[in-house]
Amino acid sequence: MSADAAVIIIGSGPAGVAAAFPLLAQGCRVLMLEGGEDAAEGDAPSYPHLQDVRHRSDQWKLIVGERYEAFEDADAPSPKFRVPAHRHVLRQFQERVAIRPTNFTAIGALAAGGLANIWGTGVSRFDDEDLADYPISLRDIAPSYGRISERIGINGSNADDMAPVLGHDPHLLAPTRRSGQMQRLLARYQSRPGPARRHGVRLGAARNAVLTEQRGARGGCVHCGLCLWGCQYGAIWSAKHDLQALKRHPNFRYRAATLATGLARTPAGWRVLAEDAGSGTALGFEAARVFLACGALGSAKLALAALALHERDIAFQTSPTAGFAVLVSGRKPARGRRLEDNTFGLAQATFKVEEPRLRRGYAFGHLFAGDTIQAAEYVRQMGSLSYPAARRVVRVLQPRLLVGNCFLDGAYTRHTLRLARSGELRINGGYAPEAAAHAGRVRKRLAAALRRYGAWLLPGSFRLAPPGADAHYGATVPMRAAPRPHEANHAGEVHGLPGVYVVDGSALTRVPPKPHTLSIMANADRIAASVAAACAGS
Amino acid sequence: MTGQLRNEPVVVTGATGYIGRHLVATLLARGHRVHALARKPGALPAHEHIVPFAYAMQRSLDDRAFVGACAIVHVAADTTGQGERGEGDAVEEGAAAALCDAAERFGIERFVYVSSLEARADARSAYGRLKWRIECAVRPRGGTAVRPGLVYGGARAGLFGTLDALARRAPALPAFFPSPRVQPLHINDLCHALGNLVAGAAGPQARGAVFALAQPASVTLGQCLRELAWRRHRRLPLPVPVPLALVRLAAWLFARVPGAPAYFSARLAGLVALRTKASEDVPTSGAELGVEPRSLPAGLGPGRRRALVEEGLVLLRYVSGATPARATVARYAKALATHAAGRPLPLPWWCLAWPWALRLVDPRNPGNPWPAVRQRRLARRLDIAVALAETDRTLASSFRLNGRSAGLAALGVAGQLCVEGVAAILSFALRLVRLATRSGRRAQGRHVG
Repeated sequence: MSADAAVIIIGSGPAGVAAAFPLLAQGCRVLMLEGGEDAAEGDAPSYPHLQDVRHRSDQWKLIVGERYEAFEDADAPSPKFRVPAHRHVLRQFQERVAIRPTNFTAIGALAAGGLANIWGTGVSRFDDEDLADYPISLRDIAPSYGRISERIGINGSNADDMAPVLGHDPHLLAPTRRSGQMQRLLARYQSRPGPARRHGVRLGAARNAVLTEQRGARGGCVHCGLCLWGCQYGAIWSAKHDLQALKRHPNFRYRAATLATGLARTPAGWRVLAEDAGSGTALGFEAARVFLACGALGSAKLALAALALHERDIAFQTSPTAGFAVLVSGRKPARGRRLEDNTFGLAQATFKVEEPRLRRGYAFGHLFAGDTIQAAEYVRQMGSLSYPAARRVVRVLQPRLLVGNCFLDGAYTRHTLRLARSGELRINGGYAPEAAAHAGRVRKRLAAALRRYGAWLLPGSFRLAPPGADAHYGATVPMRAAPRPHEANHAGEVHGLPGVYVVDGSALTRVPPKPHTLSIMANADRIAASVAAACAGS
Repeated sequence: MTGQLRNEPVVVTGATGYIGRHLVATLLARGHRVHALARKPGALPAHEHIVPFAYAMQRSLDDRAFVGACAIVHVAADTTGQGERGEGDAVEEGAAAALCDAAERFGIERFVYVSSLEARADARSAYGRLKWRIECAVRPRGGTAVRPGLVYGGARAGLFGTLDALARRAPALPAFFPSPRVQPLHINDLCHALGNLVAGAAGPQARGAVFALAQPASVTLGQCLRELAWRRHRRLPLPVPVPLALVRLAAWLFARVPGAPAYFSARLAGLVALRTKASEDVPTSGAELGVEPRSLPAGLGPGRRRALVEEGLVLLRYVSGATPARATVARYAKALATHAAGRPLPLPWWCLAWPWALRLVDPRNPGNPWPAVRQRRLARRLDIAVALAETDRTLASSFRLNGRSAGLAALGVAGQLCVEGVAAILSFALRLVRLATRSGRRAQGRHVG
């Protein structure tokens, strides 16, 4: 029986598409399996601007959803998980991938494009420090960073204080416009960065995988403020864009609604067992090599099942996150002021807090304009004021607010996953005992630095989210120089499963505080490039 | 709605009246074809299983109405007050006799006469005495008399409609003394009992029998009005004491004023004639008719959807400080029906009457006397209410200043923080009171045990 492809890629998220390009470039035949349905086109709202939405009587359809999807998950840790248009992406994952979390918010996407459907677009390049425990160095992965960056389109700045942290990128586009408050804060910092640096804090432009100029079918950002609800212009990069390009390639085959359930060895390589999402029919696909790219949890599940490693606790990491709000002074009296026009709806600035006593020595975060988030979200978060009082406070403060998130190193997590004999993946979440105290140190430094620029961290707003809420999962099948079973070698090949490669977040050796999507994609590109060479040679 | 026809036709007189209309619907739902006799047959709803016939008490009957029928329910009564002057009594008695004749002629086994709990030979009201006389005429001929108490519920019509209007609009409610007492009966309970009788549920001994149907324990008319005002309209009008003697005098005067509406003086006379002692309660016999009449509070309570709408209105008003659009309230009810199993949260009456009082039980209030589970449920609902309120254009100014002075709003915030403190202190007090009463109750329980 002839193979269905040279390589089967399981998952069509950022890692899956990144791995497909180098394979196709070397002439390999690729079959991509996606467990979710192809999302219907035209999901994104077609309103010209958030301002217009807020004057409409049918705005509830966008904000809470016609089937009230926004109220589906009462404990959703972030507003983006409550966006009605995204709910189907998350719900499918929780229902169809048998995962039982304890003290852990398991987020995953079972849809074409994966979590890139709802990602925050923040990107960064890991540096040698971040890669300290990895079996690879920056030199190995640098060309991949360049290729990915060039293809997906990233905006930001190479010239400010955050550029060395985010990594120099020759392909950067001009940054998106910022809100007045954000502009004010950054201008104050740039004119006098000393006080912040004394507290170990640096600020700079955000780096986002968002186009700011037209490129092919994708338009540039028009600053409509509707990012949270999906981009109608295609400016926000999603794996779906790359999937469109891949589908045009003659050596590329794609099957949606095909949920991979297991791997079986064959004389010539591997057989991917799958089931049709609609009919439940059992399917099988054969190839010499298999790339696992269905998310750190999904890939680990397949790898552990193939290794028959049941009932064993395996440690993995996520990046603990805290959310907070900052009040920035310096607006003119507010008469006649309304929601700011022309602002970008995702992260507009980034910051780094250095503190020698922290694991990995630093924390990383993003700042967002406060206006593009619903007031109800603030009211919900202000746990110390009654609802009507919180509403009144938010009404006065919101135009002056910035909101932020802050990520800590994965070493602060104590998560384990375990594959039960029933096939269920049990996840136990937890933070290291010192996590809260160290987050407090970060808060103190950040607050002290921001105060010097007329910006105040709202009291009580800097809170560590529950384990798993960050959705930055990784290191479930970590790459190691000397891998044990359930670990991978420097090329991503799972120990004990020759020909099976982990190319997504599962392959990360550790999860640093910086956003890791770009690095996952670059790593997938790197692994695929080395496999493609072998593939073309054989 | 085209229910399946499983049962034989039933003749209903007074089919467009308050009780008649409801009874027709009940019978249709039970699979009967209804031969509806009404003064204005045009007012009957168009329905494939309703056969309308013109009917007037003083005129002869349309025989076609009785062909093939299994039962006659005589609901029609003269409520215009003509009876008080003696002219209408004969007409009503004649009409009942004519229906008995028809039942015999067409071999219709069951004849049910809807009488009144006031029916007695020595009733104080002419109305009660008339009902008694008609009962006496139909029972020996195989008729069954059903004596309902004060019928309420359903569409706002009949006497219930009058009381409901009073409870909805009157700035104050009369509290008579000595207080007339009534035994209320929900219209659904009455119609189910009549439906059971028509179906022969009471057996052959129903022929010639009398069934009294009402809530077993009487309530005062004042209580009845207050329950109506609160449970249906969330109003708490002040009770104003009115001596019953004054009503008696008014009734006497009205009856003598030429041109005064006879209907009104009849109602006043009926009011005066009501019993005033609980010991005079009429024993009821609902069990024999297969119904257990619900209590007045249960009968007046809102249905699930209405309770959710009410909860939505209260919570939305609480979080936004203004009155939301109706569509937003409806969305709240729908969202809850979709994601919270649609169960309304039991809120104390003072929160329903004054939404701002929710501050005392706000989940963020440190003195909150509620148990944690209940607080979490309320918090979830408040989260939904805030999110929905913000999408309501009419509430936009609750969330954004849009051109108004931030300074003034900041002053408002300062005021809010003061209110917050007061609310916390009050809640602590409330919690102490609750603890005290609970431990008191527990102590009492120990004594008893």
